[in-house]
Amino acid sequence: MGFAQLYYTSCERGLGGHAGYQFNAATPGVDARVLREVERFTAYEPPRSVPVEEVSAHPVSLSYAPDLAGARVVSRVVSNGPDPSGRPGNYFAHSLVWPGAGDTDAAVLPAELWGAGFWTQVPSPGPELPLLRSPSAPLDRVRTGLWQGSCGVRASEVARLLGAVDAAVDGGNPVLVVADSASVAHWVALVSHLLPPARARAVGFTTYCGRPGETFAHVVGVPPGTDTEGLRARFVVFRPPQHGWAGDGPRLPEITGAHRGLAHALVAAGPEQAPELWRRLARYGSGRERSLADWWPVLVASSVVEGPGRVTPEQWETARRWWAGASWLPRRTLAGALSRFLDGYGPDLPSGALEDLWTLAHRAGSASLAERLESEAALRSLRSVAAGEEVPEAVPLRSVRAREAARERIGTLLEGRAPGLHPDRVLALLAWARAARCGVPERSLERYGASAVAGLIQGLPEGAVPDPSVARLVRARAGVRRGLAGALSELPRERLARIAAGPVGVWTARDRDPAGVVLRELYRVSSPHPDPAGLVRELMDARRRARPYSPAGLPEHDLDTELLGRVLGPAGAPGPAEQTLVRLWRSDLLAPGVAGWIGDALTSVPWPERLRAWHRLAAALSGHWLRPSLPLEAVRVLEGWEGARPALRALARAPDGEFAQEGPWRVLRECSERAHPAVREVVRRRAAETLSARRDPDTLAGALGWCPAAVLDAYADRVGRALVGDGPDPALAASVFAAARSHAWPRDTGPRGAGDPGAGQTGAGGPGAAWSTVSEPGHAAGGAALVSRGSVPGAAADRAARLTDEVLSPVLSTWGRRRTNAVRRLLPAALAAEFDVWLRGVRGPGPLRRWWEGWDR
Amino acid sequence: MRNEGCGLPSLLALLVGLPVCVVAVLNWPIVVAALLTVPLVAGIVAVCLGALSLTWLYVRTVHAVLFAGAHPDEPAPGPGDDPAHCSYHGGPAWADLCAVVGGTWRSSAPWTLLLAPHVALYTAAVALHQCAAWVCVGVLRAVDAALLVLRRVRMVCPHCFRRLGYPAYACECGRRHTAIRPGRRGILWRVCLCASRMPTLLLFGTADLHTVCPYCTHTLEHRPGEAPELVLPLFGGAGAGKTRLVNGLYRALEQGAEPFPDAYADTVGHGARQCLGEARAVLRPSARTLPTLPGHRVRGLTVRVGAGGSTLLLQLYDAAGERFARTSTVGELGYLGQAATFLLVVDPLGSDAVWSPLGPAEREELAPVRSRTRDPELAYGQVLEEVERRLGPAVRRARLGVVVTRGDLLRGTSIAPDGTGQEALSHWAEHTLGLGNLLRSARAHFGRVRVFHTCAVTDPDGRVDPSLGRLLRWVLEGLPSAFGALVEEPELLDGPG
Repeated sequence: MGFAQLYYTSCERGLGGHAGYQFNAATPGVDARVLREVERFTAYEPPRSVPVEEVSAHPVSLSYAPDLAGARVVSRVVSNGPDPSGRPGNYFAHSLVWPGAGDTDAAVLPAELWGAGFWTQVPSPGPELPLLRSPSAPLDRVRTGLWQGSCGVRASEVARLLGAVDAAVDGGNPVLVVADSASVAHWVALVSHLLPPARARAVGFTTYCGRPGETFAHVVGVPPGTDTEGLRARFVVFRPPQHGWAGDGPRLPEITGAHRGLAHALVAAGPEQAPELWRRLARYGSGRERSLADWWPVLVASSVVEGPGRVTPEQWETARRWWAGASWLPRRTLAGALSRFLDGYGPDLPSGALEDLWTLAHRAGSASLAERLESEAALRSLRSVAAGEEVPEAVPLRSVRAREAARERIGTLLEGRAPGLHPDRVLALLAWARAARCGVPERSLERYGASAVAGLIQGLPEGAVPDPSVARLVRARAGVRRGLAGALSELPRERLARIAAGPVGVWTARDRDPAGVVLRELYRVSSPHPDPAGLVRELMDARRRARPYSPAGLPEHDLDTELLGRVLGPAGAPGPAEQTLVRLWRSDLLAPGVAGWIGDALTSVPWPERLRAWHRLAAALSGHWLRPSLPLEAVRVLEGWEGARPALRALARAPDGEFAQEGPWRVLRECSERAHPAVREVVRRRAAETLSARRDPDTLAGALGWCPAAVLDAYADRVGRALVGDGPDPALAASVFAAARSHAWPRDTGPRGAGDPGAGQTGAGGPGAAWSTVSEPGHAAGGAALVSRGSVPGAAADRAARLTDEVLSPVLSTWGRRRTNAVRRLLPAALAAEFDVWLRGVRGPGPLRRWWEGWDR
Repeated sequence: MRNEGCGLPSLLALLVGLPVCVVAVLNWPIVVAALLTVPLVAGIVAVCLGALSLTWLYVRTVHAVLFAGAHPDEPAPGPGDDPAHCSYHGGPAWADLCAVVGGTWRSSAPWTLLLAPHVALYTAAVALHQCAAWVCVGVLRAVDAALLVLRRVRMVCPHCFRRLGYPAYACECGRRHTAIRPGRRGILWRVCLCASRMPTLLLFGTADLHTVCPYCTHTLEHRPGEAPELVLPLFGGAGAGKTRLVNGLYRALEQGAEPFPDAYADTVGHGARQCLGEARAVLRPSARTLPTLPGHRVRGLTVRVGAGGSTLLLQLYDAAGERFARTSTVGELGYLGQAATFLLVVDPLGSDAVWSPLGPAEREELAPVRSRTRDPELAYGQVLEEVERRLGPAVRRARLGVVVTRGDLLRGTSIAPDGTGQEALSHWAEHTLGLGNLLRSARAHFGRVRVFHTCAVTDPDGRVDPSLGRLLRWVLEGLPSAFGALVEEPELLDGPG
């Protein structure tokens, strides 16, 4: 192969077969369209400023077109004097048509052919021309480099020229070089040697053009002195100083775009070193790079990897984007570059760069680098999260290494020195960990809860509400709650109770963790419970379950008096004691005071409304396994009750006739006279209850006559309350009145039983004293004076009178006529009249009578 | 309270009902009439109020659309549209109408149906406006076209040689308007997207705008459309004398316009100035003309000639002789299809029939100026073929001038013609120059064929040879006589002696 040659001039004979301008000779095989385009391309007019006869003064035009009907053509056109007809202005164009890309000769740059020896301007005698092989290229890089050093133009200006030519190839304004033809050739050669070879071969140029407005070259040379005013709109005008003269000339416009850095780098490298730079860049290029703007990111990207220094942040962005898209590079190259990235820039990598590099690592097939990147990204993200910075949503971490690193870092952050991360940061960390699927060390959460959260809680003023982030955090993580509960459990109980009563208790209420058992217990006891005894049982069970884990603050016993006191209140109430008692198991660890607490409920004299509960308690304790642990007094009460209970039962079951006799009452008195006051009180009230169940007046009278005075007191009290309340029963009042007026009161005085002491004796200190308490009419109710009655009739009458005077009188005096009439109707006729008289006496004279008596007086 | 509440309605009923009953008993039609009148009156009032409300809504919508800016935005010109705003009749009128109807519908549907008369009135107004506008458009276009026809204005681009129906105009902002005539984007004016106003017709001064060819986008400096254009192609072999003849023709016009104050012959465009600006130097007898290069693109050299109030744009086409040697290069000369007058330039010395009889001394003297075109029929044949291809039967109406150059060199030689009359020249061309076949062919194909013998040199005073004037008179035949007067013979101008 080689270059096809073409001679074009005005001649007598040529390929056209006529005289005139035509191809004088050509290498066979050149396309006719190429010939036509070469004819147009090589049209030459000498400068108007130079006489047409001064052929030697006419400039030589070396022109190159990268695409003439698909062919690359370089032409040297010289003025050749007159044509064969004598007309001046003839020219000779010697053109070379580039061989195919596979030919070695194709590598020569067009501008290098300036001044070559093979150019001719003599027409060929024959029509055919041989191929030109290995043409000499005298304007090589060495000469161009030397010329650059002496051209007198600053490097920045050369760079701008380079940028302008590069832009012209991409459709920008062509560059008009106002200089002699040789200088233009050297400028073009310089630009060609600095550009990559493929780009240089795309630069069309002409070192001289008589009609610059009609040429399509990228670089157009015009002689000095050419008026360029009309061309400034269409060209970038470059007026280099005369060669060898150093001075400032008009400046070319600055390169717009970051690739001016590449232009400056090329100029600095010079024509001889530029190929090395391009070879280096070609290793990274995709093959699609054309302009300097295309190559700039390649330069930056390769500099990041190969350069001795570090690139600027702006260049880093360029490099990062480029590397992210460099899918054509072999994996080895990608992996090597990535490794250099991490080694050289690892800690300083911008956060946005890691994602691109991670993709790069996957493309490189380097799992270790990918993991390294992923870990780095995760750690950076965690740092940002901990610092409160805005971070993008985390994605699941793929590698085990990254997950472990992230997990470890989270643990370190949580366990950091005081005051530690704020809970909202911890929440963010947890959210991040959830999204990244790396998990959080539970131990770290516990420590955080025990240190930071507990500190925040303890530092709150009384009644203050914790930060919402604290609440969210504690609610979200059991580990934090565990740590918090464990830390708080070591506080004094009272303080812990106050804390537990607040939001902290709510947070931990539903936990099952043994560490928070104390806190949960205190929280639960801080608010009322519908079943306190059940609550006690639950709390006991919780203590039992937690005991194997030995949580801080856990009491030694499953049940102690403190728990009983917090839930059920102070000792003495038989109901709670009974409810608690029935829920106790033999396996429960009971504090020593528990039996005493229960026993206190038994030994306390129960209020009337607690009577039933006391009965149940006593019944429960009778056969309970806890009985041996009870205090002595409680045991005594139990024994006394067990002794009195049969008598009470017998009394209740006795028929009316027996009920009205002394017998059952004496038995009762004997059973209870030495019993514990609580027993006596219970017996007293039970007996009164039994009495109030009897309505037959005679039976009632007989029983009231024989019952102990204390029972009578209890009965009177009971009846009095019954008649005062809402909806009093007139039948009760009638039966009491009838009993009081009954003749069935006992008349035989006989010595009293042991339970009914004689006169003068006071029972103020002994256990039997209360049993004989009798309230004399007119005495204050509840008084402890002891009065003995000598005669039965007298005592019975007193009792009867007491019924009417102390029980019925205060009540019926307030009743209305309708109720009293109801009572009257229930009485027999004779007794009804007596009732009326008595009632009048109770009520006193009516207002009319009082008026009458007053008037009469 | 309850009692009081029950009592009041009863009282009212009593007060109202009692008189009604009385009236009803006495005269029930009055009652009926009253009962009918009330709702009727109420209905009429309601209808009036409703109509007023609707009308007010409608008027408000109309005001908002037309005056308050609520009109729909004008759609941006598409890729094939002219970059100018639409005139109101070009679309916004109907768009506003639709906006009014739509706005009224939105505010009062379905009562808008009752506004049909209003909308009809508006529609009629819009239609009337549209009719008037488009009638104006049609009239103006017709007038413009008629004027172009009457003035015989045919616009040809001197760069791409295509005939222009109407030039395109480039706005200062760089946008190109290719359809500037009255239309939907303006009747008298059009507004570019950059808000510049441009006239729409040559009548209104579009020639003052930056004119460009709508096909090749080259700037047309000769203000096409203002004056008739005469395309005058010259063809012939290399060295026949075409370039010198072009310069001579221009110089003849220039000199012809000098005596007349209102006459002028100016070059238009950079190319014409460059090629014809040195005509004085080119026409010197001792000057050798630089060859026209076949590699250069052929451009029309435009000369604006003004005389007697009329203007003529003369486009001279001087292509390199080498172009006429090949069909491929002749085919690129599109201007051949736009001309009605052609000039075949022949070097008499090129023909062997002429050269051979010359004596040795004559040959020695004339050899340096002899062209290398031996056979002018080659160029003639190529051009004839191209012209016939482009013009078809219209070639019969075309004129061909066979211009034999180098008259100054033949003067006094044995081959000089005997006279300047047409008959003498035709005989001389056929028998002496050997152009018999060519002339016969030309007469067979062209409508009119004349032979000229020119001398494209200036005398010592710088005056061009009268032969150029004779040629120009023939070229300018059919045009206003003022043009011919520019190149009239001096004796004829002075009248018969």
